Amino acid sequence: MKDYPSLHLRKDLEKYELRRFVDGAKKGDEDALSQLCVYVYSRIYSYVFYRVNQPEDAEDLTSEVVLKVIKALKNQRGNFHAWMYKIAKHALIDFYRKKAVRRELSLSDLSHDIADKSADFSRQTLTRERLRKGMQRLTEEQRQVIILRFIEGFSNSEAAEFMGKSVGAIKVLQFRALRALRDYFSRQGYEDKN
Amino acid sequence: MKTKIEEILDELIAEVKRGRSVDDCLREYPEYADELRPLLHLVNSIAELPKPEPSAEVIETVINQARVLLSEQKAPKGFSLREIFALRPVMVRVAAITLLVFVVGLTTVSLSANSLPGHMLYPIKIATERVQLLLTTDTKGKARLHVVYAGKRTDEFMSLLTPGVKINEDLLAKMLHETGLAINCAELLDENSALEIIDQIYECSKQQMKVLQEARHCACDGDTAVIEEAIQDCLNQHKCIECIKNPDASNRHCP
Repeated sequence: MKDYPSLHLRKDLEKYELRRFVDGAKKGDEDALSQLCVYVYSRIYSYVFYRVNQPEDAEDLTSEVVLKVIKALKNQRGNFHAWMYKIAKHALIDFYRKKAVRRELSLSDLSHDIADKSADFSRQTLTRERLRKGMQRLTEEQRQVIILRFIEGFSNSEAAEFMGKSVGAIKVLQFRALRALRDYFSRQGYEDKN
Repeated sequence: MKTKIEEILDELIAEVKRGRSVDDCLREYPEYADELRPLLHLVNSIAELPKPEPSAEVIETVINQARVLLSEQKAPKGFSLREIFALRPVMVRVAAITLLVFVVGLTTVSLSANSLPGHMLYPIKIATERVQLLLTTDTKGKARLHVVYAGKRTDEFMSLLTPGVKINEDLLAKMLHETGLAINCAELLDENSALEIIDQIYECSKQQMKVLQEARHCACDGDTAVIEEAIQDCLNQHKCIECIKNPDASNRHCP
């Protein structure tokens, strides 16, 4: 198996480097295409991971988005991230529609929930799985802002551009999202480690 | 001073990201400390979570699929109509619409050529004639067109002529009017050009007179006066034609 050092999200990836991948892939350069696939996969996987119930769904959905991005790459203009997240957003909407899981909890989630409540949550720290469960209580936009701002590390203005909102609206959304998460974790007995 | 808690939270998130401690940040806003402390800790906790890691196998598969996709895109193939539209959407659509309008227009004009007054395409026939006249700049060309139109109106009048049925007075007037316009144009021409066109006008006028004679026989009572008047106009036009053919005959005057 080939080793991909870029599997972890490359925070240091400069815009010009991404541009190089995009331009190279558009011209048919296979190395650039591979790099771009890894980059897009890493970004989108984080983006969808907390918005679906199963990691397998996140992988399938991410693969679908990457291929859509590559397929439409020739017509890509302007901000690559904004364009990429727009494709991912539409893919997620399709996914929700197909699976009919929009924000309703499945029976299995419910049983997990009951089990979680019965367990002793005190002094437990935040894990990806708990965050995923907490995220399911948020609205679609609140989830998006948490992911873009605190998991993907984008600035307010970048998140605003990707979501088609004002910076002020992003600040309000992030406040409400964090408060909703805090309320959920408080009810679950989660105690922050700080 | 910032008053909205959302603004303050955002400012403090930025400070915490720069490395300041939560408690240190909250000293500036003691009134919001209880509300914001858990939110800032939550931000830290989320940021410290390990990134979800997709499996390398899945990425490998996607890369291979992407390569296939790219090679398919690069492979030469015939253009489908949809691809042509995708390639140059605006230009191709404008060209297609123009072609469609041209073809539809041409077909409509062709179909309207044999239409008679009262038919839905007849106004298109008349409009086409007006456009042709507008596009013709020389007087001789206009004279020829008026002769042609006079002939068409005569044929139309003849086609609609039915014993006992009231004649189309408007069409009759147009028929003679076109001949009059042809004569007017001919008068403006030099002698050689005028002689060249006047024979055509004369032939047309003779035909009109024949049609009017026939109309006189089969006209209903109400039309008799109109037809007699038209015959008189036609005779006057004959005299004008004679004047143009023989300009030196001083004893003749164009009515």
